[in-house]
Amino acid sequence: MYEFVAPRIRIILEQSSVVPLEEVRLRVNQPLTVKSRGRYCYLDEQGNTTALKQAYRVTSDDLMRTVQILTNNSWYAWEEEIRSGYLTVPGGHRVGFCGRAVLYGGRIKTIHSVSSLSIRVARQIYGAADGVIGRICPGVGKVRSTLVISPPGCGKTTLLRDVARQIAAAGIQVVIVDERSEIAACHQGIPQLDVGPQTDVLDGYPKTEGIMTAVRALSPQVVVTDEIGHPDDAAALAELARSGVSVIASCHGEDVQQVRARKWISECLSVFELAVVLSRRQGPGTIEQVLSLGRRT
Amino acid sequence: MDRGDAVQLAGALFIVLACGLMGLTIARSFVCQVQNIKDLITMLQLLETEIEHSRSALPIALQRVGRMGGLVEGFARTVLSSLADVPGEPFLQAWSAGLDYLRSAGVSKDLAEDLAVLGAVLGNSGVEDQKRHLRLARIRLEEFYDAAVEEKRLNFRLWSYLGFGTGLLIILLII
Repeated sequence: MYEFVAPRIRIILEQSSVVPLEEVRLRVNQPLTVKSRGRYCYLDEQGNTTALKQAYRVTSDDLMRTVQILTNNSWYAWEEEIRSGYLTVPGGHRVGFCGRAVLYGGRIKTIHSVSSLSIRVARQIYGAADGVIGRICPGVGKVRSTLVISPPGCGKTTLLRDVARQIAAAGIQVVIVDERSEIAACHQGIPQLDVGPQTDVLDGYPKTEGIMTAVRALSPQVVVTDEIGHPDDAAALAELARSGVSVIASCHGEDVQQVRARKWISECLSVFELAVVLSRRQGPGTIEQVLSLGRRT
Repeated sequence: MDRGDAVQLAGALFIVLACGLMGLTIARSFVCQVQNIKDLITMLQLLETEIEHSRSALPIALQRVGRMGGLVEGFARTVLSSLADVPGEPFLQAWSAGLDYLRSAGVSKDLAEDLAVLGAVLGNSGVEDQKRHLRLARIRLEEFYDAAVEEKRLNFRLWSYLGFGTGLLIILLII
């Protein structure tokens, strides 16, 4: 990951003993901030954690150089991704861009004057789904439609990725509809994280279109997708159920009751047989509950 | 013909040949200038295609453009090696190194300055913006091209003969 930041920041991060690195925040004239084990801290020029006053201040030159490296000196080549606010780099790391929006016809045309970057370090956790895979796949070739529920940062995407990997490794055809390039972390169309040998990735597809494309063209046995909750999702998921395709999806929420109370997601719930509730109680990915939902369609 | 006359004749031939070659070299420089500008225009067209249709990053686009060979190959190689030297270096600095190469290869200062303006914006904005800048640069280059063709028309034949003529004049003056 260090090769994607400005040389000065790279030296600091390489010297740092903060592990595992989860996130790096670069804000112009602000302290160099990193996140590890769920906590943010500042780094000084030697890479040591320090108080705010002694922290290394990120310069506009650092930011400019980092942007040059990230975009390979070619902003236009990543225009679409940057417009949506982030860029996935080799290794699956995700970089969020913050700057001044340039609007055209009421929509964001591009971003100028980048003022901060948020680099989320991709980490694949093999076996993250070990605790639930037996419930999701109760027998050979059988996959139960499952909804993964948790607040942000509790490992939903990591779990989905590992479920996809394990299902695909069992010889089941999996399609990932990766609207935000988070599950497979594709860079130029190639998954940067292991999602299994029998997995096709529809990268950047809007969920509804991706699901329809998968059903029409890729003959999946299982579709995996992130963050359901859009008004159109219920119809797309119902189409999957009609086609006999299982679906593994995720949504934000504390528990099933809270999810049931939300209009658009509650309409999708009929598709699912299982709900897996995650928390950070014992670290990201803690499995709190595995509930049978009793699919009605 | 005695030995002295033979030496004089050889000397005269040498002067005419030397002056003639100088004239031909100058005449050839007008042809080269036209060809160089033509190559640079093609380079900008290829860059525009790479950016517009393939969304190729500049290093990849320059690698492909460099396959044209000749002046453009040297230019692309210089820019790419400068880019690889210092990660995160502004593209303009690498582009400027390429322009130094062009100047050393005989490209005019004015033309290099116009290309420097392009280097300051290349890679820094969206596709539409890049296309606009590349087209503007190409229009400027086409003006240089027209001027170079006119200059070649006026000077090529003149210098082709002027060298030999000057050589003969020197001999006449010596005699």
